[in-house]
Amino acid sequence: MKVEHRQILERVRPARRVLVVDDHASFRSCARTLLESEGFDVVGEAADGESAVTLASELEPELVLLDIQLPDLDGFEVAARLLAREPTLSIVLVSSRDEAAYGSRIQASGALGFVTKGDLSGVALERFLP
Amino acid sequence: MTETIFARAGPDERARTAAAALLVFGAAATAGAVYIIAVSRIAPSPVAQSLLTALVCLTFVGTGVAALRLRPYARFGLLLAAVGFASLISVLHEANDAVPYTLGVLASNIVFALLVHALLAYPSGRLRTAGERLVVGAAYLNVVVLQALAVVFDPLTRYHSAHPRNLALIDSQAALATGLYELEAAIAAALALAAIVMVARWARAATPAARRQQMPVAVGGAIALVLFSLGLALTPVSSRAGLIGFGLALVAALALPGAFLTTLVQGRLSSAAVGELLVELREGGEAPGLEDALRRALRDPSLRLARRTPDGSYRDGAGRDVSTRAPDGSVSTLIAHQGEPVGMLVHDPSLRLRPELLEAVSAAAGFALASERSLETVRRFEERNSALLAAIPDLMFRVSRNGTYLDVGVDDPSRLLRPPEELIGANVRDVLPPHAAYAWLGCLEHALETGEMSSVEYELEIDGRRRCVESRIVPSGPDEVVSIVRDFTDKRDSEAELRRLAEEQAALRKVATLVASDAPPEQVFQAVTEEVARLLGIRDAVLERFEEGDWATVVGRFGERAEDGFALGSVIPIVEGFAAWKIRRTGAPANVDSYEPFDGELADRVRSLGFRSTVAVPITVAGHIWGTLIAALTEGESLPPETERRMQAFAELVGLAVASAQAREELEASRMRIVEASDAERRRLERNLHDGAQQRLVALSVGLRLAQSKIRDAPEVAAELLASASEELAETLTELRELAQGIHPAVLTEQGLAPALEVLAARAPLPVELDVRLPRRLPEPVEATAYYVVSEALANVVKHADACSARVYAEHADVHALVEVADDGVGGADPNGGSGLCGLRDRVEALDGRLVVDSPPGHGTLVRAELPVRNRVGDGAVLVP
Repeated sequence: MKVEHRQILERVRPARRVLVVDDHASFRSCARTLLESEGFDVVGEAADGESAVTLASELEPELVLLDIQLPDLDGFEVAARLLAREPTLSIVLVSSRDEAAYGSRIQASGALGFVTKGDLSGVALERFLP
Repeated sequence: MTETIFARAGPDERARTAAAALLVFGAAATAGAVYIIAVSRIAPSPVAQSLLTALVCLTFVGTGVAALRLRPYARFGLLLAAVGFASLISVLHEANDAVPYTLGVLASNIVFALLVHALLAYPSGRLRTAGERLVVGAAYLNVVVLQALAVVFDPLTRYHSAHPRNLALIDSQAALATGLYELEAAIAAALALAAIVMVARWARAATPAARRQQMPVAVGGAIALVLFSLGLALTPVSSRAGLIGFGLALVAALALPGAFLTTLVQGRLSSAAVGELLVELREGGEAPGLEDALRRALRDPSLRLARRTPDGSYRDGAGRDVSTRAPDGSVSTLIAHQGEPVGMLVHDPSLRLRPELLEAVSAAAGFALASERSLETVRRFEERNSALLAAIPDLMFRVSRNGTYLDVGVDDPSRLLRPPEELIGANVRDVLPPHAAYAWLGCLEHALETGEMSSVEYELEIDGRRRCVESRIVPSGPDEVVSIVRDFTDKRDSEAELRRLAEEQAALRKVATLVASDAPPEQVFQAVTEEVARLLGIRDAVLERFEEGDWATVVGRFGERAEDGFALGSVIPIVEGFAAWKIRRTGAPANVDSYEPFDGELADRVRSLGFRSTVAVPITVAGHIWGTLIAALTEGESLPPETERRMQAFAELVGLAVASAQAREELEASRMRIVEASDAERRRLERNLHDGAQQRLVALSVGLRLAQSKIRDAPEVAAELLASASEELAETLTELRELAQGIHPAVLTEQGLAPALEVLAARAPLPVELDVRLPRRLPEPVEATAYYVVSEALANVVKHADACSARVYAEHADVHALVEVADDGVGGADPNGGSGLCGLRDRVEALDGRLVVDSPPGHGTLVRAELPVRNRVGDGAVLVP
């Protein structure tokens, strides 16, 4: 079923352009492999908040997969700055913690949604996207 | 035998009348007898006979009458009078008429019986024994019955031819009559002998006084009876010889009235002795003197005087109780005065026969004893009063209504405002200060008006000292009072001192309670300044804490000008010469007597606030001068004695409060550091888990899912992904193991400190010499702390010491565990620097242990932790051997 879905998506529209932001290289690598295998186009990776903002303006991705816990800025602040410049940008927050650990901040962040790192998949992301 | 009699009064009116009648009758009878002799035809020598008759009769009757007037001798008086009258009967022998002649012959011998009676009844007139009564009765029967029997058979022809006829003659049988006369004479002689024996025995048994009194009577009576018996015996032979015998017997019998008269005269002499006794007593005699005087007065050397004691017994001069036991044969006479018994005389029983004397002497003795008793009472009263006066160390004045001193009583004149001679006659208004005089005179008026005691207190200046006195004023007459003045300055001072001490204790308790209840030091400082000022009676007290440099901060302040330049929190300079400066230099209490010599802004400020001088004591905390407590005095204020000592007590409490607060702060800081260290450790763990194992597991999860998706389409890719996942998993496990080791090494928990230290030494990147002397496991907290001390110290050696080798030593000695880590590195470590060492110190101190870091530059570093080893059981701390 998942394959059919993906195949349909692949058929009807071009691959979504994704920017992966996470300070752990191992996660970025895994995420790229996973998402690309599910038809996403990972256009870039950023290891911290500042890089994420810069790359987003350069690469103009459709979707930013944004880790909340970053070494400089946290994910919420990065989301706020991205949305300030591109209000229609789709942002999905990720974390190895679960959603409850952040209370209402996720909802207030302007992001489309939240996925725990262990549950990351293309299908999970598609649910939030228009 | 002892008997007690009361002395009684003497003659009464009836006796007096009877005596007068007897005297008249005796005189008439004598006259009749003389007449009979004078006209007698047969009287051989009428003149001599008349004289003898008159002498005998009048002597007996007269003496009898004299005795009759004295009640105890009345009976005896009658007996004497009877003898007198009976002696006249023999005169009837010379009568010319037959009737009186016959009567005379019939009754001629009655006088013999009367003589026996009188002799045995002397001097009371009473017969005492049955034997006496028998003898006397026999004598009467003999001279009446046998005489009458003889007379009725006697023709009486042998006497005189001119004799009148015997009218009683029944039958003239001269031989029978003579026989009867001889029998009568024999019986009379026997009775006379018996009477003499009785008198002799009686005299022998009598007391000396009685014997002295009775001897003439006994001797005279005996002679009389013998002569009379002789006369009776001779009468049948020769009537003349018989008459001569009778006459001589009567003359001898005169001893009876003679002895009795002597007794009476002695009584008079004794009365004189009573007079002398009274004179002696009036002159005042001691007890032995009184007894001697009584002996003399009563002529009884055996007499003893007993006094009545308060318990009702009677004791003689030697203290013997005579009320219950008196010498045999003696009698006691109670001595009363105004109806109250006051004593007792124990005396010879013969004195009972002289009751008037006994009474007089008793009355005199009563008077003497009562007077003695009164004197004793007065003496005791005086003694008590003297003792009381001596015991009251007070002044006494007698003052008239208008305030004039009339008299003054004082043992030490220096206590008076003026010398006694100047004081008497002076007025209270001129002597006492006006306010005291006013109060005193008001009190005097009140005492005189109400008649009750009133008192007033006032102050006087005596010899330059202010004295507090109290006057108690009582009326001692209609217009005068007696005032007792008591100086209670010392008492007031000691009471004030006691009060001060009590206040000091209360203030100290108040502050100590604050300290003990861990009140904030600021509150203690404030309370101390307030209590010190209040206790010393001053307005300002300051508590200063010394700061770095020459500065001090006001941390406690009490005073009316508390908002001045020395307000709470203000920082003031420590100026040379000021009390704070001295204390900081010497650590001893200091004072400033005057601020006048000082220049500068602070001195100006002190002066402008009116502070004249200060007394200050140091406050010491853990051996260091922490600050000072200052009592500041303004003009007119003075400090009580021992001010420094009192302030020192408060300063010690301040020191205690500060030390306690510091200890508390240190403890809180230590706890905070422990909590912070624990939080930091948790954060570090969380970060480690998040960044390490968790990320690896996330990647693993993603990789496995990817591999799963590739198995069918691209199995070779899936196999690569699974291989990679397997590696990732192995690394994750290693990482987790290391992490767990960091949290708490399993070897420590499972095998104890010694193996754990071996692991630490083995892992260290430099050679570590290990010397562990732990015979048994230590309590868990001690093991853990010792482990982290070694672990952290070795980590520091590796990081900072630049050392070639290290040495680890651990031992369990007595009640301590000791761990040491020494290195041969560069040294110079800061014992208080670095969160690592600080965290170790907190951990060690949390177990009441001690951490020492010795790190001289260039000589390596030694870290030593001493940890008390206790095994907590319940509330008690039990030492583990």
